[in-house]
Amino acid sequence: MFHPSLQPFFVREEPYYCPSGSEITLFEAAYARRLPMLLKGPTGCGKTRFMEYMAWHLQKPLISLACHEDMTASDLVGRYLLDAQGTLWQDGPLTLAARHGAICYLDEIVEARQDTTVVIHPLTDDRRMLPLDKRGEWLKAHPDFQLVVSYNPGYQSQSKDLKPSTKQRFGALEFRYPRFEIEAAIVAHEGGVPLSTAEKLIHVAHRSRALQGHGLEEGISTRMLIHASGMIASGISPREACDLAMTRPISDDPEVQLALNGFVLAYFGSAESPS
Amino acid sequence: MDLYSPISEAPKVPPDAAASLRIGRLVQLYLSGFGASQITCGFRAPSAEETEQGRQRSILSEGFLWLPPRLLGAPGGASGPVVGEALAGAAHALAHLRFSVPRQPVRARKPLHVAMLSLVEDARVQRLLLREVPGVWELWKRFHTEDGNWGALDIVSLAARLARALLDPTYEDPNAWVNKGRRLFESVADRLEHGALFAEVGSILANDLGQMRVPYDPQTQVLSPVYGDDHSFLWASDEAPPETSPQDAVVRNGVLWEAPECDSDRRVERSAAQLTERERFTYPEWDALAGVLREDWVQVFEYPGWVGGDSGEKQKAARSSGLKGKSALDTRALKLDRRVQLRRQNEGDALDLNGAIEARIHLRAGITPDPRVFERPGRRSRQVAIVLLMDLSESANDRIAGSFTTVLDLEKRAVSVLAKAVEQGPDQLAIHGFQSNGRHEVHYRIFKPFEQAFDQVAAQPLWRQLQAGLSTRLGAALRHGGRLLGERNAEKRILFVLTDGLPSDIDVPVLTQNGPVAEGGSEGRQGAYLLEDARHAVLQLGRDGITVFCLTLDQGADSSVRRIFGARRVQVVDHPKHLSRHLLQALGRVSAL
Repeated sequence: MFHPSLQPFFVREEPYYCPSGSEITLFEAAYARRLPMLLKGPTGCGKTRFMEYMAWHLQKPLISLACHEDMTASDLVGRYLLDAQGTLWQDGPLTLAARHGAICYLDEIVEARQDTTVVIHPLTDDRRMLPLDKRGEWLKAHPDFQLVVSYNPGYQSQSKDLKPSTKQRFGALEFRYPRFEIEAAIVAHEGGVPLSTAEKLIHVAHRSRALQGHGLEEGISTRMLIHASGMIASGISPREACDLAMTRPISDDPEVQLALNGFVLAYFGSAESPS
Repeated sequence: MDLYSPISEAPKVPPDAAASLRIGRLVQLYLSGFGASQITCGFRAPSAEETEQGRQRSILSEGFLWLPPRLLGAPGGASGPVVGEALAGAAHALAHLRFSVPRQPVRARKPLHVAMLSLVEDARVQRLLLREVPGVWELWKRFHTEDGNWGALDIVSLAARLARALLDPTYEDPNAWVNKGRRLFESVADRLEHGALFAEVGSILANDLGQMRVPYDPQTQVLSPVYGDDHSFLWASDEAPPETSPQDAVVRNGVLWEAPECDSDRRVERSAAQLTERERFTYPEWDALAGVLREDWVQVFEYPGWVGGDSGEKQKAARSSGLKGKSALDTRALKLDRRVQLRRQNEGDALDLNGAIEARIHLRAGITPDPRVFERPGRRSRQVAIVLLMDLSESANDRIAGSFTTVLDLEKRAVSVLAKAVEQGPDQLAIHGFQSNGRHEVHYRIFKPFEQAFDQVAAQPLWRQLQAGLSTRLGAALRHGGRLLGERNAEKRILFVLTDGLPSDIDVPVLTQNGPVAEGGSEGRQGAYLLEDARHAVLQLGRDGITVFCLTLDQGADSSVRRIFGARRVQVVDHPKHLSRHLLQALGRVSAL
């Protein structure tokens, strides 16, 4: 079966995931061919949750790694450490997944610098190899191994993008915020609020998403809505819950905050208790 | 109780941020959220009759919402009530934009008739909006306070009470006319979409008022609620609607309104300064036809930046500086420099040999080893000096289709955004502009020297009343910009050109706009004279280590512009609306080169 070092990476319980379209079927087909996948979409729309769900669904371990700008190739591949006897090679998350057969999920891949991301190139074409130059090892990827990366084409810095040579190795699924009814169902389920409250929250979110590019880098995400609905479910007034979980975190711009508060007011009125 | 206070308290706006709160922007954001992003907000100057602030109403059209100057707020900044009123007005405007039929003919209707039709129409569209977003009532409610039990029997009070009765189901009025209005309205209120039914209601009410002989003076008595508009949106009157010329009366969103007369003095002052303080330079020009570089061929006059500015100006500048943004030149984009190797790090790519050996020695000796045994490549910070060179030729006065905004306005707005963004980082930015009038007269203006903060520049009349005119002798301006840039001590120098057309000048035949220059044709060659000169200047600057990049608004001139600057050093703006975004993007790109 699976290598013992992968045991912590299994998703034990079924994560809640409400599909918006045929993404589950498509991902299954891509996994069957071990096609590297690129998940695009705005923040908080369910990319990571989808990966957890797919890992559970396919019964494969999932190794996730959030990329950042100071990440170097050794953070992915591994490095030598010192121990009492001498040097010790420590596999990085990518190597671990490739060696023992897990799904490796690199979140926000464009945050990593381009010279870092090229290490995935030999893994993501038909060679499926990972050169570990420091060890002098050519690692052949395990048959179960698949690489999935996510990125958000919207807000990243202008000069940051994936190289075309990187992009062209992937299949892609585009995620958007779910349709109104689906999003309402998700928010109601995850937050534990009545559907009517969830719908009002989503109206507010839609107003904020219209401000994208006019003062907001991104609108209020499904994740934020779930946070707000959770607060409402625990007895906080909707206005305060929206303030805490949505309008205050999303912007520091006083005009944008006031406009967002205006949207909340428009849908929730001044009712002090959840309707 | 101030119903808006829970909100205005909520964001905990720090006092200085509150002072710079821009109501126009807030209203625009609110409207955009509800899908009316086509509306531009601004403040209008009060007309002569509107001396009383309470009488000022906003003016709505299909493209603009001019807010009354009252909403600019007290000098201390916008307070909760102002915010509440602005949002109430925005929601009211939204109701009209969504549900009203604009510009209906007035025909022979009397003013009172028109006023009643407008009042009922207000109530109709507000009710329609409330059906969708009931919470908006919280914004409107506090303006509907007129009460029949102590209100007067004049038209203003009656209208206000009727407006309240039509919106507020809990309100009871003793007046028969008000109650009749309410009854008539409610009888058709299940068919709010049918405007004609409500026009009938309005007509009946106006007729009744006429019979009651209630006097009405449309000049002095304003019947719409304080947050409402002047109803010019609804009516296509025979006389022109209250026209506010966008040039002198209106100042765009985010810029403070100021009485025009005090500016005209400064204009005179400025032109006097221009004449005395200019400096003269001469530059060569490349004659592609003859293949020679003509020495000292062009004369450039440099006008220095506006120095000084009184304290009032500074204060205003401080008020309008609310912009928060990321540094335009994202330092993260800077590449790692492998030449800088950071040794003895806690984390890194590889073991630092010296550190590792030392750690082993320590281990053998029984001493706790230093954990810093790694090495990794480091990063050098580099300072970028940027000259933003604006093309101020006549074509910048063109209006953007379907609006009062000129290309120059948009350029200025985009440059402001950029300047404020760059100022937050370590990089230096100067803003220059040029226009030409033949080879003996290239005017080169320094709006923002490297040392000056943009806020100070933006407050100056030189910038605010910036006028475009004359022609585009690009090559000379590039050479002069390059010279000024070359004097800066920076690791990277960027000359960033913002233009809306191709080089041209009165002493050179016009280059056709139909794309690239025909090779060989004598006409094309003549037209290409300035183009080739500019290209020569760009190549020379490149040899001097200056990166030249061009952002152009002229989509037709794509290939010619690429010929001047090089294929990868040009970005074409698809729509002038997106200029700010393109500008930041392009600068991010070029600084990462």
